[in-house]
Amino acid sequence: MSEPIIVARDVSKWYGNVIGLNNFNLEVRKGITGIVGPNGAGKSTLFKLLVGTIKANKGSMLVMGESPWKNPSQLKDIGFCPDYEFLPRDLTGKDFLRFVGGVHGMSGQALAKRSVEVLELVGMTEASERFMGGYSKGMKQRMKIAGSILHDPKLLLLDEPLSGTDPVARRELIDMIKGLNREHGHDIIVSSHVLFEVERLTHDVALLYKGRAVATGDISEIRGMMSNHPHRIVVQGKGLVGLAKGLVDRPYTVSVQLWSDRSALTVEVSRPDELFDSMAALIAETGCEVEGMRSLDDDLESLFKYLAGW
Amino acid sequence: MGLNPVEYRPWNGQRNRQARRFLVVAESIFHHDLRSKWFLAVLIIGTFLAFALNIYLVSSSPHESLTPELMAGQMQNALFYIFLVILVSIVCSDLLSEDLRSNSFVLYFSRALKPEGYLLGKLTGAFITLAIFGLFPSLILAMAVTATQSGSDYLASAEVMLETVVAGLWVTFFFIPIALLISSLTARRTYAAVGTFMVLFVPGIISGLFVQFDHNWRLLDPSSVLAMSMDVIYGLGLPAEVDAWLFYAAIFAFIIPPLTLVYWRIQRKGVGK
Amino acid sequence: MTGAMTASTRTASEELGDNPICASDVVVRFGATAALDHFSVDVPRGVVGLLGPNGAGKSTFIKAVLGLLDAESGRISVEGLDPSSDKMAIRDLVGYMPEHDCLIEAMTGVELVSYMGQISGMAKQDSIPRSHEVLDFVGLNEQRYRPISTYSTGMKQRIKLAQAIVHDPKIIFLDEPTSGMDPQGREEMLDLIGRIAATDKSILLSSHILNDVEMVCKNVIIVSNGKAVTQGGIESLLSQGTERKRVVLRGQPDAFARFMGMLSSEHEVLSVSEEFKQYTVVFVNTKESTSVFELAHQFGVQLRSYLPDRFDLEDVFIDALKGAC
Repeated sequence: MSEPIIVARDVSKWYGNVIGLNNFNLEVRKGITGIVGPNGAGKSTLFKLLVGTIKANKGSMLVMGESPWKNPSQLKDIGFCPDYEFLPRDLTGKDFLRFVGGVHGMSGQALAKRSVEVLELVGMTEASERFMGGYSKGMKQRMKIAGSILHDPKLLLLDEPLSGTDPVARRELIDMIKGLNREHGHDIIVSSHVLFEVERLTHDVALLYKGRAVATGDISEIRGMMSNHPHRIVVQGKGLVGLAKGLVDRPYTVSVQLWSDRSALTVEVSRPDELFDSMAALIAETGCEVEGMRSLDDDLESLFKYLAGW
Repeated sequence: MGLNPVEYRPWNGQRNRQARRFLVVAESIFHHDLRSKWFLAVLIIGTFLAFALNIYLVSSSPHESLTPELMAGQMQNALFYIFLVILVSIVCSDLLSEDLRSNSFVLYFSRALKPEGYLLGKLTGAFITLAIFGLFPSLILAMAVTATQSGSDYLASAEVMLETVVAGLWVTFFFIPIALLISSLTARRTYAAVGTFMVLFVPGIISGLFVQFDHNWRLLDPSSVLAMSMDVIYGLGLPAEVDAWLFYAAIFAFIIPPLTLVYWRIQRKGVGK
Repeated sequence: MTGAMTASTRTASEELGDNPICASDVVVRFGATAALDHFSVDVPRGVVGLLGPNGAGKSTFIKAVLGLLDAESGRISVEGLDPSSDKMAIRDLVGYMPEHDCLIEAMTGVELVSYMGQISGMAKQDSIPRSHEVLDFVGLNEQRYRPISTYSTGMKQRIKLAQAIVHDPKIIFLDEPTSGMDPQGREEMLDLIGRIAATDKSILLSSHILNDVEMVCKNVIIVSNGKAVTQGGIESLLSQGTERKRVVLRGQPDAFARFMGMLSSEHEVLSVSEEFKQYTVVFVNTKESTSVFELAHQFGVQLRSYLPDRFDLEDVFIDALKGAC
């Protein structure tokens, strides 16, 4: 296992009576990590702590081994793309990058070369001469990301990069973000409250709820740890009555429910791996024909449901 | 016995005629204002200062009958105008700016309400609300004076009373179009309120500077025009030094262009511009 | 335009069939650009998804149906009514939930819903009890007595839905009804939409979240550059027959390689991909499923899902847009 790039230990941050993060613990490793949670779960507070604009009331936070608070030199290694819109309407994309470059102390040939590179990377070369006021939602997101990777940071923080984009723009952004990690080696932290968007980007997630990281890790592994919530699996096909009877006898089965038209059954199991491994034998034994088999809650949404107590 | 779960249910009631729906808008404004502390406070102080004392003084001093001069004087009272303008600023400032701020035009115009119905509703709502100050106190004054008159010419008093109804309605209405226009220009309530107040007062200061050169400069000031129209309503005639045509042109200018502009803005909003 | 309209004595609905909303060859222009460019659709009853990128013409179409915009040519029929002449009657049949913030923040939830009901023609004594009923339905509890300015995004979405259904319209337009909502709120909103649709309403749902569309819509219309490029039932758009199977497997790479070697010798394998530590294989299976399950077991790879391969709605969507260009 590689060194974690972010370590948060018992971090709490409150604003008056409102708590943003509460005894928050997190380790983020290289690659793409999804920060998921409903509005107000603490995602924005976390980002602000990571870039050092606010200080935790309690606990310690290390980003690539250093504390971000009052550590402006670290910002050269972090690119932050906030969720709100800040692009000036009456600047062109190129001018915007020139401005951002100035902020990072870049200039001249180096800046010009890097700008061209970054624009190419986010696919905005053509539109870069136009005023940003006329950009679509997807283009604005690309431009924002371009601004945040201009200084070639190691770590990229993207706050809700997909919100409000249409499916075409969303797919392009997802591919682009994956590419930034795979081809250009940026480590990326992405936040979103739309779970299946995150699921397509990465399976390494941290689930935030009420200021806590209620779960971290690989989606399937997290699901596997939750042994008190049986997995539901639907099997469709013919001759399922026999299969249902067979399933009832298995030790891992919690319940079997045959659909009223006998075209499918829903089985709840405590140890799904055992079910999947024994399916071949079960089918052979009972002589049924399986047309489809799928897990109902192997996704982020059901994880959330169980962990957040919905 | 029976089940009645929370579910979506159809509603099969009767709908009101579409042409009457502007009244819903008007009623909502009226109810909202009657619950507003600011409105009630200014209304009570204004009624007390501009009317209560006068009602007492005039009705307790000896008088033959209700005269047009008396009522015209009351309706040209500076205190009355100041409070009227403050009330207009309070009532009208949020009429359109609130909908601009919240983008709620789409809620109105996706329903069977035309822009003209919406505008009429806003206008009617403001009108009914302001009539509490513009019409009723002067009517009460007129009635009190008539009730305590020593002479027997009740017919003459009745005529003045009728003129007072017209004057009260006119006073109530007069500032609303300008105030609506200001409210349609900004999404901030305070801007609209202060803006209305300024637009209704500043011209008075400017016209005061120039009136020594030509008396027609008084027509720049909405309050002066309103005061003069009181003389016309009570049959006392315009001041000789003011041009009658210019006077009517001024009235037109204070009402029609603002309403047209507001209507145009609402219509554009309705399409989602 | 008027000449052509008066020349025809038939009503719009007779020409266009008896679906709740039909449009044929509708052109709406903003200046030089055509927002709707010979736009033709037949919207069936039930929940219909209206899909398209931003600026494709979805909102323009809804505005044209409501008579907020005039069509330059073409014909629209809404329950047999024509927006160019009966727009007020149409608006009484329609409920509209806009995408963006539009609520009057100074009002309380119940005030707003009741007020909007009255503007739609309900008497006060009808609209007040009905508003409470509708708010119960959308799940807004005690908050209904507080000003809307204090509401969360999810509560605002519920109020927006409530005001769209308070007058019991036959046709309901929902513009991005789940936007900004968290997963639980999303699920509840979709459930509400399904329950409204069960009462024989026509619901036109526009959304960028294709999972939502797939969950509640029976039919979809895909709009691109002012044209309806694809329309039809979701099932038929996504179906690829039952023989193509998509399976998800987990296991060691070498075990998987041996399994694939065997599988491809018996079946036609269409695609193999690996992501997030699991393999997805699409292949043609004309025989029974037993052999595939056994094969997986035999080579020590775990078969986690076995389903008929369907098109992804997102692929259908993107292909439809490409085809239109």
